[in-house]
Amino acid sequence: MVSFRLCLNTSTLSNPFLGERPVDLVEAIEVAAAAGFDGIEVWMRDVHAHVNDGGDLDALRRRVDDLGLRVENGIGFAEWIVDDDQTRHAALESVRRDMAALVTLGCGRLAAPPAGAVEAPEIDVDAVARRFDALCDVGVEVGVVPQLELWGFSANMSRVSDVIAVLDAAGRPTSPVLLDAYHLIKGGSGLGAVASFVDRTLEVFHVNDLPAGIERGDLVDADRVLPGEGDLDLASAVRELGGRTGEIVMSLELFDRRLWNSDPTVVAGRSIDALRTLLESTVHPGSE
Amino acid sequence: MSSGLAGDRLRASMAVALGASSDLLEQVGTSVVPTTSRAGTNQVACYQLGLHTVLSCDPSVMASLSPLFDRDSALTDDAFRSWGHRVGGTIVGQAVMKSWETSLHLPSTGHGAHVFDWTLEPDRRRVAAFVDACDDHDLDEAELDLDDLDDLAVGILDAGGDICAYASSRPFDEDETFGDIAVIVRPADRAVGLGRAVVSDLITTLLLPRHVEPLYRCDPNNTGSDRLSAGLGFVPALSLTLVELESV
Repeated sequence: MVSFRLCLNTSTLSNPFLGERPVDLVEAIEVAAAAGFDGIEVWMRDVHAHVNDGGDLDALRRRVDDLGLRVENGIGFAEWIVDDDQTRHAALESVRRDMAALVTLGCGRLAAPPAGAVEAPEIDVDAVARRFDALCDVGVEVGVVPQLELWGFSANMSRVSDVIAVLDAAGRPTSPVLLDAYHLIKGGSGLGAVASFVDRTLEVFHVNDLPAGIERGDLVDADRVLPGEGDLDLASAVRELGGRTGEIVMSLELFDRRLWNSDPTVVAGRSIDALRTLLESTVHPGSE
Repeated sequence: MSSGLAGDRLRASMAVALGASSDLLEQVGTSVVPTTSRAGTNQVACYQLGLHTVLSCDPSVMASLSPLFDRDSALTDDAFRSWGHRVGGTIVGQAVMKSWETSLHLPSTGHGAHVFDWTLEPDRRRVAAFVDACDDHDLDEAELDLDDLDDLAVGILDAGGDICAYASSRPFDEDETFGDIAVIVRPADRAVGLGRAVVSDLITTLLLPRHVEPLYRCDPNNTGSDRLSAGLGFVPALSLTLVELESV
């Protein structure tokens, strides 16, 4: 049976797109640890900002270790997938920098979404596969594994079948995939699609709930809510994942302004309670 | 003022937010509420809440409002303005808040409104370019701030993918079941109905499915905005005039 590691994505605590975040990286780590999370998912822009502000990543790693936490994954938006050669090469250099920082933090994963290609035109799957292969090569050099991420709102890699096609065309069928409940719904694959990953590698699952009654095309990231506050059958998806082996990081990634306006310690507490309740409901169906 | 259900709820929420009882709304009269958040501003806000008027003021100017306090009649906005003028005050703000009291079916505009998601870099880039194309006054009116974008937003895009018209909503501070709507149209694209179209799309696409009650605020002197909202079925629910008194 799989072992779930409960993880908090820092976007749940504050808006990750603000120039200066109200809850900085150090505070987010401390808040997550105090709430009882096993790990944290960091945004690369925060990691680099920490360094630019005079912070030391070795010291941050020690703090993470001392708190018994693990940096599970890095969220970055390097445009490794795009057609433009110059942009793509710059993106791979940016990825190298991201990965080096993550290694210092003891983290071996970096999200690899189709950033830069969310709008048409659709890129040929063989081209995407070659570019993903190049990304993986950088990962092998530095020691971090890219997690090919499906984005439901993207013109490229919006469905589970797209991601599987890229892995196969790249000759990397066991490279890990990052799935996200919101994106599975938004892209039309549905939560049931986690079953199609039975023979694939899945290390990180972004979990969130969504309210009922909204057309999937009209869903936005801000609609994500805590598990149990929406209408998704998350328990079935998690039960499906539970039939696998090894570890899966179950990371709560929300963009909910109501939570951003709340005390981060309260948010972290509610977050881990929601994840634990979700896990409990998979063991005792009907307890949701 | 509207007698609709949404308007009643809005007035009740506003009364409570101002520190008055929502029961007051059933009574003709005027109440004065010293408001600590206005301390040091020398300001008095006059809220017309249907039958009742509430004056929310800097506590230090409360004594000067005694001529306006009347348990048995609701101070009118004109009377408030006259008083403000007489005592040497300046009107520094005014607004009408409109609730959506219609069973009209808003038709699809046919523009194919684009739903923005701020986690997407192309959408953030689009709105940044739009802000550059609009003037500061319009941006202030719409409270469009790149560092604090509203979660629910739609736009009508031109053939190049740039924004012609933008409408957004965020939870109203005094009652989060209402969505406070902002709308802004690129100067070159005004007077062809895009404002009305984009607000219509915001309501039908994003607000109603999320059970968010539309709320439209506008300056009563902005006839374009007033007409736009009236055409969509918004009716005045309450009004506000803000006067700043001279420092003593």
